[in-house]
Amino acid sequence: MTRFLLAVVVVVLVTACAGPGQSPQFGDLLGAELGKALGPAGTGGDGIPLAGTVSDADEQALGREIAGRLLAAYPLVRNDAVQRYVNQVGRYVAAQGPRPGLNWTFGVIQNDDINAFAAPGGYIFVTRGLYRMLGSEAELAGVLGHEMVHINERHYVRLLQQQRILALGQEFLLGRVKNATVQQLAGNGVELYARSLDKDAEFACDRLGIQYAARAGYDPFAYLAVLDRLGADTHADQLALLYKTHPHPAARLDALETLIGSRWDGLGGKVDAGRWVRLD
Amino acid sequence: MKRIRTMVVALLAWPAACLAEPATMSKADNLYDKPFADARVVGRLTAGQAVDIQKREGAWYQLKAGGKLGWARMLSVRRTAPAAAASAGSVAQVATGRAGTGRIVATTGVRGLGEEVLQEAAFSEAAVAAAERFRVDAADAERLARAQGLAPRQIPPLPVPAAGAGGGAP
Repeated sequence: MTRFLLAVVVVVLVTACAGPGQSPQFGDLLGAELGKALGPAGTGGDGIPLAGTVSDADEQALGREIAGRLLAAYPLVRNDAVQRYVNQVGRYVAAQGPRPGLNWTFGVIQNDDINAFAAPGGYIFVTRGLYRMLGSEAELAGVLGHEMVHINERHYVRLLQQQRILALGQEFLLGRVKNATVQQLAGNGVELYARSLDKDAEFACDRLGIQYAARAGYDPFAYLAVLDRLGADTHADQLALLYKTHPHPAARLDALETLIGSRWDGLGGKVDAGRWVRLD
Repeated sequence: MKRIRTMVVALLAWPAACLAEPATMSKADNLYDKPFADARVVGRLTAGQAVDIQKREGAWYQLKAGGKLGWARMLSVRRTAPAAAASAGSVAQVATGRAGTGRIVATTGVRGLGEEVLQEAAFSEAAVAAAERFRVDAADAERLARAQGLAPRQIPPLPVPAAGAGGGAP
């Protein structure tokens, strides 16, 4: 029996670990990035220091480190056809967003939770559990689109900033902690696992992700149907993380309803593109 | 190839077969005879009314409601949880949870993709390189998409909600 349990768990997995096995290069990268973020460059309206510009190369190096850890624990599903397929769809949808030049890398990983991960620089992984519950390319495009927004909008940078604030405390904000200390903290590891973003970030991912999918020619409502199915699902075990890290699907649909209204009544678009790869 | 075709056909048929699901009107809306806003109105649906979803076409669900068959905007409809009453409390609690003023919520007790497992995982060059081998060039991706009848299109951006408005959420 096919369950209509569906999902878009979007966890921006930001792991900036610098443990014993950490390469010096990565530690340096993070330290440098911390310095930029916490330098005297000014603060946002809420008093949180704003990050300096992080280059695409820095982002990719950070994301690659994260991806390499995730994949070490949960390797790619051994199915070349499905891996090629998600890259073909993902890369095409990414081209409709603001950062088409990133080295976008997509994959389906060996895990049966319903989950998806985005790491800086263009790494996006969906679990086998999530992939199996999707029913069309338009649904896949919407899910990947949501993840892409986390990367395109550099949400993880903000997350790192907030985490730093928690880790370093008021001392740092007042400028009492010297840069050497920052380096040391970076060396000890600023660990962020499966933390949720500001809820507004998730709404933004829904809003922008469906626009990437729509611009790619897909029916964007396929993604809303995914949210709708998810909202009616009661498999709490597989969805616990989703509900901890995201607004409830009903709230997300309400938000989208406000924005879409009747604008896309006649938009249409492809649901199936005739190349779906089934994953048994 | 034949097998693939069979699977595609099966997948195309699958959503239609699985629909006819119970749902509830999240707001009042018209029931139209076709999936267009300028179609003939054949009924009026009230907020909270129970309906049955038959299928979806773009922005529209075909519904059975009060003995009538018609179409309504899918965003006026929400699928009904089989045990809504039982799960609503816990879901609502976690869905609205926020930690302090930082508006950042840490997830603990991550299931499946375990926090501990990830913390202990050492970077694997081989694993990430294996994933990167599947990268597709942008031009190739578009060529392949076009071969399936897809094409990029211009769509005016959706409005951007006011900051902090939660994207229009309650």
